[in-house]
Amino acid sequence: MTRHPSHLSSGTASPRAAAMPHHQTRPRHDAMNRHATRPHAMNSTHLAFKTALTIALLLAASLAPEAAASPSRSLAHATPLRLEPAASPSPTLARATPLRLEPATADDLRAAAVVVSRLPSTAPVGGPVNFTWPIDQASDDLVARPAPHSAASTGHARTVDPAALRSGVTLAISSPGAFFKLSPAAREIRVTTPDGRTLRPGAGLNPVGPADDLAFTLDRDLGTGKFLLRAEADAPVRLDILERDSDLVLLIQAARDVVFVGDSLRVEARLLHRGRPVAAEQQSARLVDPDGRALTRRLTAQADGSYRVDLPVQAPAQAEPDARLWTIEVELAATIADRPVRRSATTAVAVSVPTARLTGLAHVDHHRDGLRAELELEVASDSRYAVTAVLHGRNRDGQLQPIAVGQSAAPLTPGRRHLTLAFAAATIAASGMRGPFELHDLRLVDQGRMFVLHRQARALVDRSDH
Amino acid sequence: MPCTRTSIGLALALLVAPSPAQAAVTGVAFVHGTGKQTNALVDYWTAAMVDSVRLGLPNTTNYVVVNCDFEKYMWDPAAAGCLAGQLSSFIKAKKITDLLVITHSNGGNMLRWILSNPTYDSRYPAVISAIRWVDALAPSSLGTPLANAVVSGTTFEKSLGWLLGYKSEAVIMQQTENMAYYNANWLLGTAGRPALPRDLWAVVGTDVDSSPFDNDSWCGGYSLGVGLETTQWWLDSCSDGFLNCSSQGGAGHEWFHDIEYTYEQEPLSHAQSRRNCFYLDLFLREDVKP
Repeated sequence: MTRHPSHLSSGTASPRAAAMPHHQTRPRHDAMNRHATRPHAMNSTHLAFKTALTIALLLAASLAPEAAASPSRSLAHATPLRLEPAASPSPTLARATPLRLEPATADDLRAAAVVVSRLPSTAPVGGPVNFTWPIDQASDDLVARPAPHSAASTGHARTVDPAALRSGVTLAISSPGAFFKLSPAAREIRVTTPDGRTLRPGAGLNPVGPADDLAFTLDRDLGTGKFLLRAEADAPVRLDILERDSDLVLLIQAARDVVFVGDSLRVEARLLHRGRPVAAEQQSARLVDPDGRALTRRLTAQADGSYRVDLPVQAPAQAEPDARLWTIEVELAATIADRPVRRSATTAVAVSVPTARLTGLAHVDHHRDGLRAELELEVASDSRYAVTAVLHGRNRDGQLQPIAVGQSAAPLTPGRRHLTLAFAAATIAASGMRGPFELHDLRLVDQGRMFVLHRQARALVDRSDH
Repeated sequence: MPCTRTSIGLALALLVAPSPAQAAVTGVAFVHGTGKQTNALVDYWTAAMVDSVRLGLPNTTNYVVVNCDFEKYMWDPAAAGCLAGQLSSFIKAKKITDLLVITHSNGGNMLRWILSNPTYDSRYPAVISAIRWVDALAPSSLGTPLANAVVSGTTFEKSLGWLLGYKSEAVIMQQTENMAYYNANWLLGTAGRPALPRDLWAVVGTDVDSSPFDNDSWCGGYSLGVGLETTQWWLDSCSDGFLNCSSQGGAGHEWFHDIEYTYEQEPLSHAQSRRNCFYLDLFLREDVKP
């Protein structure tokens, strides 16, 4: 503790001022923007000019005429919404260029029809809000089609009951020096090695630290193979086995990170030995909903060495999907070069109910005030909905470059409705970009239910005359 | 929509034309990590840390220590809604025009929710416009494998309860696969995604000293670091005992890695990156200066 008090009493003097991480320091790594430099400390003028943030709070009733009669919540789940005639553009966009969204590709998310949700909308009460901000990113900094999460595992975990633990649970150790940990219900732990030796805590089982007397590592010279774990317990015990430096890795990935309820979700798994696919003897995938209901399927081997399964995403009649994510658990077992291998990994998927969709109709108005894109929605359930998109323009070489992010949200009732993205002329002028402008990474979300409803990489091209 | 045009014009007029004589009013907000706090000044940050940092302010009373329920999902009214409310009240009461936000751990995700979803709540735009930038101390931007372990049933040393708690919504949210989904769909600022409307600068903790015989282990409270050696088994070789470095630097910009600037290149464990350890408070004090 000798240093600590001096830190506390260091007053206003700055230690090693020359080494202080300062505002002007250019960051070494940027997660999102490799061109960024930390700006000088800002004052309010900086706030305005440096970032040119444009805020438009649409507090009045610009969309009020669209807030029609309150919706019926008595409509059953999966009741298709009656289609209304296409709505006219709002008055200010009456002379705007009518456009259609680009055709969605296989990687895009787009609902074919809307469905009424029984789930209440929980978004904060508030009026329409429109918000845009410029971004200083290169086009290749942005990935409008994000790849779903890929999970990698060099270990496995499971829960074992007391009787099984008492009679012995096999530890498939494929890498020397493995770590394992048991939950506090376990006691009197001993492990039998493949050659018959018995290990106990402190005698062959190496405690990891003083704080946890149920976490151990095996000596590296014990090698690999099937070890037998025995312990006493009065309740189920969680067992984690981690082989951090193993050359056997399980990779899993779902084809999408968002699906609509009723869709099928493809999941792929690969067991890699030094980077090459190897065959598994046992394999299973479980789709687990947020309340713990699970569907288990076997994966099937593919010609490229991977394993694949299509999981139907079905919600029970009385449990509509909500904001919580569903889990996909994959477990594989194999014997590779006489080493027993067991691996488990998880990933997640969001399950949405298509409470609204973009119809594909849009009106773009580009004039002195800037560019506005009004998007038509078909709404099935009342909620707060938001659209977000990245405006792109063309640089001097005619190449597309991002200009700004726009987001617009409003509470909407069922029917044909609109949301408008507004990009100020000053923002566009500051970027130096010209038309034809495009909207990329267009998203529609139900903010009140946390449903992602539409995601389209290249969504709208303004082909009007500039 | 005439209102749209009028609002944009008004907003621009308000933001673009401050009087040259009008000085910025700088304030700092401390935003805690996972947990339901009612006295984060004492229980989470310590007065020594907060008091040291706010010495950098022209008016040292322009600070707020946020207390919210960050056991909830980030979009919950008790989480980001509470945070927006406390920041809004602070901004209004102190007439703050230049707000520095210092977050720790999951507090970075809470701020990023507001910055990424400015239309979710009509209070968000005014909060965002007041922010200079966010200093995110060890933010859990890409989640942590420890959250995965806890949610699937693994239990850790009781002294890590402040970190991992029980299977709360916040722990579920900070599983790596869940954060991957949120980063791809609801949050901005990670690789491949649009930039946030305000910059987020991450301080990355790279290691843990937890030996009782090492004086450095005691900074911030020795008991808070006990057990972090076990958790390291779930983590990369570069971690602060709770988060991989890749997670801490996974959104916004990396400001610095602890050992680049801390006293005697000491690493900041996850427990220490919210305390006045190894000059961290002094770096932040410099940073809040207008």
